[in-house]
Amino acid sequence: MTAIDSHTSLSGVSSRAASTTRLLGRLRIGPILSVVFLLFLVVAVVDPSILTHYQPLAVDPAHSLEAPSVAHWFGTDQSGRDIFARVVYGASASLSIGVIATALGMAVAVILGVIGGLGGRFVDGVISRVLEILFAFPALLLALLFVTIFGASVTSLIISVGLGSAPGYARMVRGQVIAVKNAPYVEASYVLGHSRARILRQTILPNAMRPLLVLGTLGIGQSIVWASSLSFLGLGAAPPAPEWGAMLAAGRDFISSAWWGEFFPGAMIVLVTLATTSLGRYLARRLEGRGSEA
Amino acid sequence: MSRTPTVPRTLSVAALALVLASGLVACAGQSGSTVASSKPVYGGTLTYLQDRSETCLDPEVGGDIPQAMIGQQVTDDLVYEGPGGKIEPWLAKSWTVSPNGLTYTFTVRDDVKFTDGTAFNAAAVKTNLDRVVDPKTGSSTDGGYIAPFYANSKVLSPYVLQVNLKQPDTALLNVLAQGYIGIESPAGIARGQEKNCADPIGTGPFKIQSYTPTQQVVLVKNKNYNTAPPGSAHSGPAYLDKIIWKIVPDGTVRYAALTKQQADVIYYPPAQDWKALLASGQKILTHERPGSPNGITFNVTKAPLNDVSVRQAIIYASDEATNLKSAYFGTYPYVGSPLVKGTPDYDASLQNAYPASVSKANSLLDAAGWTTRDAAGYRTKNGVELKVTIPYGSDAGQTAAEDLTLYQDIQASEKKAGINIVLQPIGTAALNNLYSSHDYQTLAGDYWITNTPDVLRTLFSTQALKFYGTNGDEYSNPTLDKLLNDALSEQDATKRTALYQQAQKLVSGAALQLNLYPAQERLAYNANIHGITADYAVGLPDFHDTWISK
Amino acid sequence: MTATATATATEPTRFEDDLDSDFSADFSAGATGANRRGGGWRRVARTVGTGILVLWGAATVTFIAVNAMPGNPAIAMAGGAGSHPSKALVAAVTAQYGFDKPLVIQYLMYLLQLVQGHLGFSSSQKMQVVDVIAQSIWPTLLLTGSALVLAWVIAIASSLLTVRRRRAVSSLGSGLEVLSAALPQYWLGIVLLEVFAFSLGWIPATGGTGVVGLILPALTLAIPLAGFMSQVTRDEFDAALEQPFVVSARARGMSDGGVRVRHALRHAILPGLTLSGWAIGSLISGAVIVETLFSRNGLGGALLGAVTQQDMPLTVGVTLIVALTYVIANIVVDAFYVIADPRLRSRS
Repeated sequence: MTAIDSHTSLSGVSSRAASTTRLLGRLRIGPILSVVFLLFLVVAVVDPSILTHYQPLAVDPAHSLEAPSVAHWFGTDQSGRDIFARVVYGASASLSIGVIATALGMAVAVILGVIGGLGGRFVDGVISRVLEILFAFPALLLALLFVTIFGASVTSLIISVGLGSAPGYARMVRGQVIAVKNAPYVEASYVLGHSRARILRQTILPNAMRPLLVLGTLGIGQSIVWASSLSFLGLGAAPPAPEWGAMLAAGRDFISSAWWGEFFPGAMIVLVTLATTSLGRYLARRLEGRGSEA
Repeated sequence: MSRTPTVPRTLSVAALALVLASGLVACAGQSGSTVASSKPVYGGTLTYLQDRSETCLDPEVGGDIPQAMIGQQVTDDLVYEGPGGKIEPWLAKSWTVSPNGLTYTFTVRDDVKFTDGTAFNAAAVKTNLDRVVDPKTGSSTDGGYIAPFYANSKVLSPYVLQVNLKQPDTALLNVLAQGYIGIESPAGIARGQEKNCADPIGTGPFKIQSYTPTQQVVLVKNKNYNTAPPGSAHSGPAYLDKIIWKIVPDGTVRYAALTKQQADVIYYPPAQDWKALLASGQKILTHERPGSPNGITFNVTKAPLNDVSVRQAIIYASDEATNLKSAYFGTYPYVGSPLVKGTPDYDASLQNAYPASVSKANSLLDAAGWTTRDAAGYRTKNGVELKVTIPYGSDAGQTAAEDLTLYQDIQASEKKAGINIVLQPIGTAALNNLYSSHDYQTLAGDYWITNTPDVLRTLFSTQALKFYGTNGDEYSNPTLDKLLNDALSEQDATKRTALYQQAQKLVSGAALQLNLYPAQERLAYNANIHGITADYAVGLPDFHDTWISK
Repeated sequence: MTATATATATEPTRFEDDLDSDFSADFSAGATGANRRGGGWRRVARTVGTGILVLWGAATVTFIAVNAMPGNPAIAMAGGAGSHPSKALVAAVTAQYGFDKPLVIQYLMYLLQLVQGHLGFSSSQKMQVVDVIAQSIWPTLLLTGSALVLAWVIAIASSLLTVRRRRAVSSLGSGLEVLSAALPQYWLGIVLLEVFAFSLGWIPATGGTGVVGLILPALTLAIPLAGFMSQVTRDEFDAALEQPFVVSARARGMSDGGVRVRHALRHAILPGLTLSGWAIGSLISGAVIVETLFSRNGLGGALLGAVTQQDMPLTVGVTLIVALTYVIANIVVDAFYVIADPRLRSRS
């Protein structure tokens, strides 16, 4: 860490990197906890039965809305299902929404951003204006329209959240491509006689994409939050699927008599978002260090 | 015109606590005692929280329950329906029906004014009837009931109206007693739909002071009210000065507002909060709405539901009564018959037509050839899984949380018989599409509130399938059609009852619906609120007799 | 919302467009101010032009989307499927509203209406769209405006109080910021409702009127946004405190508080300002949820109802108003940006 510190100070990127490095030193516990929590979720995705012997869909009306206890750690829901089991089994749906939606948003963004950044003035103009229109459009409306047209399902959720986040990413990719395009090392490649395709593949894309890794990590948590908002409006997964957002939507009606149905799925969403944000910030700092070295 | 004192149809706290404890709900509406401890007092503002917003306050346009609830306060009907389906005078003093059932002659009151100051007379009634049958009005409910039969009406003298029908309609008087068709001021109607939707003008105990769509309606008392119906506890103007009628879709919020004394009366208290409500001294009024019960409609043209054995098996396997008790915390009775108890000519013998029995379901399905099972344990036949999809409205406020629990519990019950029930949430637009395309296996949350057994024709007749678009089962049976048409023109009450009971048996045997529970008027209110009633015709809240003790 | 998140964590200034592409979205974050070339009328014309383009685009996308919805809008108009409108009634509505005409004709007719300033008639609320908007725009602007101000207050307070303080204070500050940014709005709203309205009863469950009714909804919108904004202001504030002018100010004997408020703050709020432009979109999306949750009158609720009931004129009308708000807000943010950063005034 000190090595990077002195190096960055020397390279004139100055105090900012130094201060973030100090911040990093303070927050290192964050990324570790995040990794531990995410590993727990990976187990939940791979084999949820390791974590609980309850079935997420097993209805037991005689034990509905029971408070958290030794038998039911997170209590039971309105049909007597174990909420802990539902949270564990729901990890896979919610995480795939987060990961796939983010990946989709980025893929669309990279295509738009690269075409915009490298294309001529006209192409760039068209893409930029399309992005502008999408920005002025509330993302939720976009998702709402999409789900209304194609029906409520996890797939619809993924696509609408992915498309909703694409304009934000696309603008950054475009800016980044333009910045890299005019960087001295790219000009050097042209001077060396490399083909356009090779320069694009080997120089521009890798450099332009680097910040996306960070954005992607941060995006996962936000996509989950976003998707759960849509679930809240009734546009999400079909019951009795244990998707966190859908669980939140169902738990809301019972909040005055059974807070646990609302609290635990919400807390999971918050924790995932915290974990990915913490990890993303950690990555951002690491990359900043490397970026200045390059 | 006779005025009979009535008992406010309120369940006493003790009675309800008992009912809850035993997990059974009696027919709350018609029984119960009054806790009238003191003399009613005039004055005060009542804050009422409603669950759903109306898009137009005028119930003649469209015709949804929230509209009729406003209509009940603002307008009076031509006739009144009392206990047991008895039709009594209201705005009409008397009437005669021709022996062939084609001509109705009404003599209406001559001492009534609309709240805009214009006079009520026979011409006003004619304007209303002509209006609801006009497709341009967009009247689904009233138009749907009246248009197929209505020929025209003639004003014979200022206060005598003759209504001519194309064919006999023994349900006409019942329909005219519903809050859906309160008589509105012709001058008000003439202002155009936009204005009339925001401020329908009637002769009722209240009038609209202001309206903020999707938010609230403010009603103020009609100081000149002189048309209290026979069922009212008092005549003359309402006790309340004002009603603030707020739209609060979230049941949890309504409940909290009531317990924190921020509201006086709330519509539909969440079932899981009933116990707490009663324990803290609030009261609950329930009143069963007649008609077809809330349930799941089977489309008999779609496999595997085109096989009556499969439909019957689903009903046997569903264990509605147990699931209902758990999902609704024992606040709803199970209705197993095609009609709800209060509906005229109701056949009580059909309540237990399909007792819960997995073994009965299994033997029916085995006999129908669903003998093999797939990896998930569901029955298959020729490699096809026994799967039935239940679409339900997913937009906010469309499907009650309790219903969603109920469907999931039924889903678990059906699994025991090897039937795979898939729940499919869909938005309003897609739902509308389903209704018009009939491209569904089932429809959830289907019910029909009306005070006549003619609802069977509305829901199950070939006529309804071909012309009204109201036959969601796609059932078509000439025998049933004949029974229902004969009943509709049968002027002899005893013979009519026999015909309708035959029709009910036929419908029940065909297993066209998984019946669940009756539609109910459900109001919770604080202990200082008195005299809250529901009307007998379709169970709408009535605030004319309501008063607030100091 | 996602856009906001991504913008925050990696300082937007890093992604500034180069000077060549003066396109740099005329009222966009990240490209604000610094990249503007050509001034005066040309810029105004371009901003207005892009604004009109954005409005047309928003109207068109919405028109197409509403028409792509399954289901016959005539049924929605005739009271919805639940009221079982008769076939004759549906046919009458179809003819009355021209739903039987080719889509292109419907589109052109509608566009013509829009150009003339007619937003049409809302089938779901049975009112002129203009009236629906007039009734719901102020509550929404009040809600989003106060949420934005509240978010700013929280973000600035958090930076002023916790950046470069004792390690524990600093960590607590940044930890709380990350936590608030991670809160799903409606979950936060439900928790606030449960605690302050249902359990404690401090605030009317139905929201109440005036300022009291605004507290919980505004907080619900503001807290996650404040989390995002303060993460940015924190980094900038941190950097600004190391700038030469801060060092020299300290050398002149200025107090720590004075340095923070008079010098560092101004620099720290610049990226936050940029973010405010972006936040408008996020706030409107949030308003849909918050207005539903708190049963508040507003554009968000009107929009939700319009979409679910296939009310095309109202959907387009609200979308246009939202887009317009976004356009205007970003112009205002641009202006603020120039005021807050004097360097931009000399650079042209």
